[in-house]
Amino acid sequence: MKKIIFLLIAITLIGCTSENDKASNEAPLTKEAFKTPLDSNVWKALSGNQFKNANEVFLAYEKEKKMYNSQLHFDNTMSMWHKALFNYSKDLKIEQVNVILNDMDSMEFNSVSFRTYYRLLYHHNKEITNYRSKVNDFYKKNINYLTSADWKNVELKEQIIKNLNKEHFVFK
Amino acid sequence: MKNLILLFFLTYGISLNAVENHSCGCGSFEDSIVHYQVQEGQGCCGTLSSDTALEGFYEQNEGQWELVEVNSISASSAQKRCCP
Repeated sequence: MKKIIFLLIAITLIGCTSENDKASNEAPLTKEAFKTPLDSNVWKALSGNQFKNANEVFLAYEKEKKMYNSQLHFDNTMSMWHKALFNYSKDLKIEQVNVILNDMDSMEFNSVSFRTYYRLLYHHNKEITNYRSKVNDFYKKNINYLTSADWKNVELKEQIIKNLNKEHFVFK
Repeated sequence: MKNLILLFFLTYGISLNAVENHSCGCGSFEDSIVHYQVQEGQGCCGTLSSDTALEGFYEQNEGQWELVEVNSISASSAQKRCCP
C-alpha cells in the first residue's frame, strides 16, 4: 500500500514539474511581445463556432481589451478581434456596436477589419445618427494611412487599398 | 485509504479527459505567421481541430510590428509549415 501511495505522489510531482518548465519557457522576447498570445480567446472567436452568441463574443472582447491594454500586442490583438466580430455584426446591440466603432476609430488604421466596420454600419445604420460622416472619416483615415505607408510588401498594400476602395464604394 | 486512491484517479482522470482546442503558431514577422488549432494535449503536430487556419502579415513601423492583414488558409498547410 505504501508503494502505491509513493507512486501516486511521484506522478503528481512529475506533472507539476513539467507545468513549471513550460511556464518558464514561455517568457516572451521583445519581438515576440508583438504577437497575439496563443491563449487569447480571439483564436476561438476567429474560428467562428466557439461562442454561443454575439453577446458572449462581445464580453470576451471587452475582457481582453482591459487585460491587454498596456501591452505591445494590444493593437494587433484588437485588430484580430475586430475581424472576428464581422460574423456577429448583425446580432450585436447598438450600445455594443458604438463601443466597437469607437474602438476602431481610435486606431491608427484598420486594414485587417474594413469589412467589419462597413458591415456594422450597414446593419445598424438606422440607429447611428452620423453614420454617413463615420463612413467618410473611416475611409479618409485609412486611405491616407495606406497611401503614405512605407511597406516592404507592396503587392499586399496595393491589394488592401483595392479592397478598401471596393468596400467603400459598394457601401456608398 | 481505498477512498483516497479512488479520489486521486477520479480527479486525475477528469483532468485528462477535458479535451479542448489548443492554439498553435509559427513563422516570422518578415514573412508571415500562421495560426491553427489542434486538440489539447497532443502538441502542435497533433490532430487538427478545424479545417481552416489563419495567416497574419506584419509590417514594421517605428520599431513596432503591426498586423496589417489576416487571411484564411487551410489548417493542414499551416500545420505543415510548423511541423516540416
